Amino acid sequence: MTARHGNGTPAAGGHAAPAPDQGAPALEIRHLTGGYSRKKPVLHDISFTVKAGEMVGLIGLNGAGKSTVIRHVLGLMTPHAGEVRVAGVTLREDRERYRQSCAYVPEQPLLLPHLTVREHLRLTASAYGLERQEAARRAEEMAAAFRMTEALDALPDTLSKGMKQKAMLMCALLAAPPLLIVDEPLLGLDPLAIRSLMEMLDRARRAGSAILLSSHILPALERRADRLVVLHRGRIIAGGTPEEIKRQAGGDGADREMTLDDAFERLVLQAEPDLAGESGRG
Amino acid sequence: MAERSDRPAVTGGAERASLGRSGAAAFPGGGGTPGDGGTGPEDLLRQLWRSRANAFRAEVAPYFRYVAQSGFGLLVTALLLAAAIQYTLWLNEFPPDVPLGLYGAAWLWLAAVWAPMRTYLQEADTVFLLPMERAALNVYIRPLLVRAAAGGAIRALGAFALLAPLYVRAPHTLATAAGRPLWLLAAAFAAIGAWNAWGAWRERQTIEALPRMLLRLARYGATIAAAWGLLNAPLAPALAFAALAAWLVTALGRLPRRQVLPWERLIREEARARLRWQRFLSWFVDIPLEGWRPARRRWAAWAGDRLPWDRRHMWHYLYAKTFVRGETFGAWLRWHAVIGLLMLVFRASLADWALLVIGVLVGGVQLHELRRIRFPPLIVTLPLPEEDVRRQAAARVAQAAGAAGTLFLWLVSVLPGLRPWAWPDAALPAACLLWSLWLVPRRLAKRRTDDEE
Repeated sequence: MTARHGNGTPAAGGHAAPAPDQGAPALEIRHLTGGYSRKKPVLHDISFTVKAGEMVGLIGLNGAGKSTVIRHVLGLMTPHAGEVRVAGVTLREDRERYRQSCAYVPEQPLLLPHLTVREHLRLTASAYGLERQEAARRAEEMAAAFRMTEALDALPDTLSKGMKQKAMLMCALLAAPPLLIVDEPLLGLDPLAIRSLMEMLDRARRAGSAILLSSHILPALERRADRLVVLHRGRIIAGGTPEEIKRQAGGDGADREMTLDDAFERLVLQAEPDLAGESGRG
Repeated sequence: MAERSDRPAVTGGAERASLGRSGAAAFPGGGGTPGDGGTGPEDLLRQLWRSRANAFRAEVAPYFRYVAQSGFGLLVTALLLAAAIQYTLWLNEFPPDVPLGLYGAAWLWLAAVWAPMRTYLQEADTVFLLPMERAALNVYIRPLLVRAAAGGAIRALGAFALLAPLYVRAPHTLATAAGRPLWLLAAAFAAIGAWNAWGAWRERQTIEALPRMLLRLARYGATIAAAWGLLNAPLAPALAFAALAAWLVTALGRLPRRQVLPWERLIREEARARLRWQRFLSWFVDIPLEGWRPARRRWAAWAGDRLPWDRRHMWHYLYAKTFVRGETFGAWLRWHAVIGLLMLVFRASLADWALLVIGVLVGGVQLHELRRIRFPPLIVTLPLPEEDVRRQAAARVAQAAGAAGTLFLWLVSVLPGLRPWAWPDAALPAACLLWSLWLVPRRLAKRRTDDEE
């Protein structure tokens, strides 16, 4: 299985679908307009790409449209206009390749109530076409890293929220497909698990996986993300590396002390000055 | 306990929020805070139980239409009629070899020890009602205890009212019954029923599991001994014994550590009570089971792990695990156990054959429930095989379970030495296998309109 992975390390290989070459787009969103109602779309002409080996952070206020973007990428919603390509195909063109090419970790852990953590890992491994021995080895390795070894044979109803979240992450990282979509991965995790998760995501990225990571915890994104996409009211209001985002927020980069939090706040206020009262800084 | 809360008192608005969907009606006018216009915490708590009870009734009432449509009412009526006829026959002539003194004690014990208490407490109450724990105990729980005690007394009285006419006629108890006033027995059993409700509350308050279990055993033991004594032993010592046993168990209940108000236990108990109702209703209509937890069943769940490790069998894997750890499998197992037991009891060819056919037919109907298994919508984001494979997987799991059930019942029916072998012992299993291996899976594998989600 690792042989099928372009430049995979044993720890992060195992793609069911071959990973795109480093730098090739694993996710392409072109002019996406969509939402629940055609009359009132949530997203307006969204375009961005996530290349193989790249981590892109999706940030925005509550209701900005991050989850709607993710739902479109997962094929749970159909675009009103535009298209979403994963590993070069749309869901309509090649459903199987599309599904094999992405794994998703939702914000709320959604484990199957009848399956233990180990059984979830088995389900994921065979769904993504991983070999049994290798999948078992990596599952044990991840369980140790996330301190979940004792919980491998537990049913979800006996796990805490943080442990459920770790189990979801383990499944996605085990699958290690070309595109990992991770929604608010840090909520509910303890500090050691956050560190393990970020290390695992880094390894997956180095191995060629593209990562789309939605989070409100901007310092973590600032350190790890290659690029950021800032959404506000269903539109992209800024995009680029964290430094580029700061420059976009601060004009010509005069404010060297500006954090990503500051930049994000400025960008949102520029897009919607009425929010100034809510921000508490006027 | 008392694990008093250090939380700051919540505002009236937060208390309103705590009531959730069923409690909102407890605040008429939608306005006042606890100190506003006479709607203090006590007033609100008083209304809370009533509003939650009403909300629960309103929630389950619509489903009884389906219960009625299913013929369940007819079945219950038929059973009641049969019981009434049998009771009348017993009134005319009670079998002389039946030890009614013993059976009567068991009957009264069953009526007395069951001490349910619907609190309608919810998870959110540990956040919003906890700061008013004292008021909750006095205003919310205490009336429920009185109600539970009254319920226990009425149940015990009802059971005794049914037993008494037989008690004074049955050959075994005729002489004993003649020497004691029935009103006194009725009063004693009512007191025992009420005392059981109080004892059950003490058990709920007990923190550690072992003392709680021992207290329950002591209560059960005291109740059965008192009931037997009151029906069979000389009256005065029996009354004295019952009073002494009740006092002793009550005194024992003071020894272990207790919580004043065992919030979490009451919430769990309430969730189980809701689940029981939902389980009952789910026999007739497809309703979600809140608070339901899967069973581990390691002894059976391993079978799913024997499936081949490839994508084509992922739905098989999911269905196998879900079925084995779910409700249907439990019902299916119990059904086969009951049929097997009846076969062993009857040990007659005709009965075995009838039971085999009924057992396999009903077992197959139960397996149709596999069609109703629903997975979370996000499962579609996994690269699982297509929908046709999914239905085939459900059919294969039903096929395996049906074959195992048929084999089990057939083996029990032909257990060597119980009865002579006859040709239906070969023909009937073949017909049963046709049902289990072909007809049931075929129906499960068929696409239906309600499969499209």
